[in-house]
Amino acid sequence: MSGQFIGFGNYWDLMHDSKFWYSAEITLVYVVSVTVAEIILGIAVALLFNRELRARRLLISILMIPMILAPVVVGLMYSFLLNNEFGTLMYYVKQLGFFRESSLFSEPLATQATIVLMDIWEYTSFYALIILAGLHALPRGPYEGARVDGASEWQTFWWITIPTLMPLIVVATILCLIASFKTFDQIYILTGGGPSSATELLSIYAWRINFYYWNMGYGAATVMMIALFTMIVSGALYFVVQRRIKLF
Amino acid sequence: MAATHKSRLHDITIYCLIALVLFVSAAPYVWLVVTSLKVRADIFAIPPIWFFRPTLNNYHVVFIEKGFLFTLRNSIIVALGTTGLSLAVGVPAAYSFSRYKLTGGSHLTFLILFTYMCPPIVLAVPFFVMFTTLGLFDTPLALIIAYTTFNLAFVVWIMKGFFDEVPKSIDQSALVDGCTPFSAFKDVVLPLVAPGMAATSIFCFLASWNEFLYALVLTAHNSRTLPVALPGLVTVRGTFWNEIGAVAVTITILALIFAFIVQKHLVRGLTFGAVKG
Repeated sequence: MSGQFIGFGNYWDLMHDSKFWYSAEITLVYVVSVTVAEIILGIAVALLFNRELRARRLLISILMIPMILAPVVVGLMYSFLLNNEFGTLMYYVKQLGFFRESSLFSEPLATQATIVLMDIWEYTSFYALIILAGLHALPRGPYEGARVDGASEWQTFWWITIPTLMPLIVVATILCLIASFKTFDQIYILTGGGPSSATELLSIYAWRINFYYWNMGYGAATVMMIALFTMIVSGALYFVVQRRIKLF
Repeated sequence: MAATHKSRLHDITIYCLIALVLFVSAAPYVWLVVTSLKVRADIFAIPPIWFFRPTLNNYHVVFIEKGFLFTLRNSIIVALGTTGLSLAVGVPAAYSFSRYKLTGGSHLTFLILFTYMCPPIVLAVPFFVMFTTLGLFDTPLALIIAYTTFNLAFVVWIMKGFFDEVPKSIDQSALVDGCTPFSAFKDVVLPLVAPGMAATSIFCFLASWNEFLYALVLTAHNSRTLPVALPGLVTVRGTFWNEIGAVAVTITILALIFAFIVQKHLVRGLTFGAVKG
């Protein structure tokens, strides 16, 4: 832990570290694609479950399973399901004609797609539950008015449901940005950041610098950049939540 | 006639989609439970075997012979310790945030939110340095302290929401009746928020029960928890997927039961109170 004080030296190096920027780039792509997919699918799933259903509580519990599982378990589960030699899911994927010659985890793009899909599987139901809570609280009045005016189902959805739910969708989006930015466990277990560094998100990059190369000065600078980003996004969340409380 | 036919078709499509969503959500986990009940030979069978004679042997091997009972004990100690500590400090703090005007109060609440939102890797670095220096590395206490950072923030924020829902006039009439401010809090307001507090403590328990990164960085052998010991079953000499299944099911069953109990508060808890649910 000894060392000399080098001012902003570590930050200067970080700004010129192509590996850091590459990691930042894939993190951005990961966070944006996960968020867009999960919010849109979440709204769809919420609309699907927003009706009278038998054994509703049980069905919602089944829907919740993925988000309750420990992320480590999710990572291990998929590394077994997708194992090239004996993975059950991989077996069916191969039956469809994919990855017969190569293996999934040796192809960067396929691996990146896999971690995005894994996150979608894991957390879409969470955002669906948030939207569902909002759908339950919708006022009836505007819908009756729309029916009287002869609006189509799609028009009612687009011009009444979405605008009324907007504050909730914004909150869900920000939560999703923060949560996907934090993701570590599943990806660490499933890919370890590989192949080469195709899935090395910032959290894994920072872990590697600190606890694999044991370069803690440089690592602390990396971690500070992550903290800065979180501060900006959670500031946005705070602003939105505070304003919502004042609005309603 | 045509209209009813069309709406019937519409209904069938909807129910098929619901069934599909539920199948996709549940199938991998069902498969995991099934794997934990298989003997080793059946696991690697291609094409996959779906019908077999179930065994509980994997649970016996991993918990009794491979010492995971000790790891389970660590997990329970750490989860209970952090839940207790976070509630003991957080509930009175939340009450003060709810009832008293504090200088810079709203900025303090932002700091609490930030503590909760911060990725664990950010704090893992300073914690590692601090605990190594203090000789706390690889002790349950180190994990309890580390987990209390995010759990405490969670308790303060969520419980403040529950306290805000109790009208202030209730404390005031308790004070008029001769309660001290502390007994107004302890004997009058606290029982009213008890259901919320129960849900909050379950969330705390689950957050530390499932936590991985801090445990990875701050433990070696003596205080490993289940999530960090679990990947240890993946070895170069071969991986005991049926045993991994057994431990994974043990970790998750408890979480699923708890989640079922707090289903009503789940959205509120997991959105950090942003959505009332």
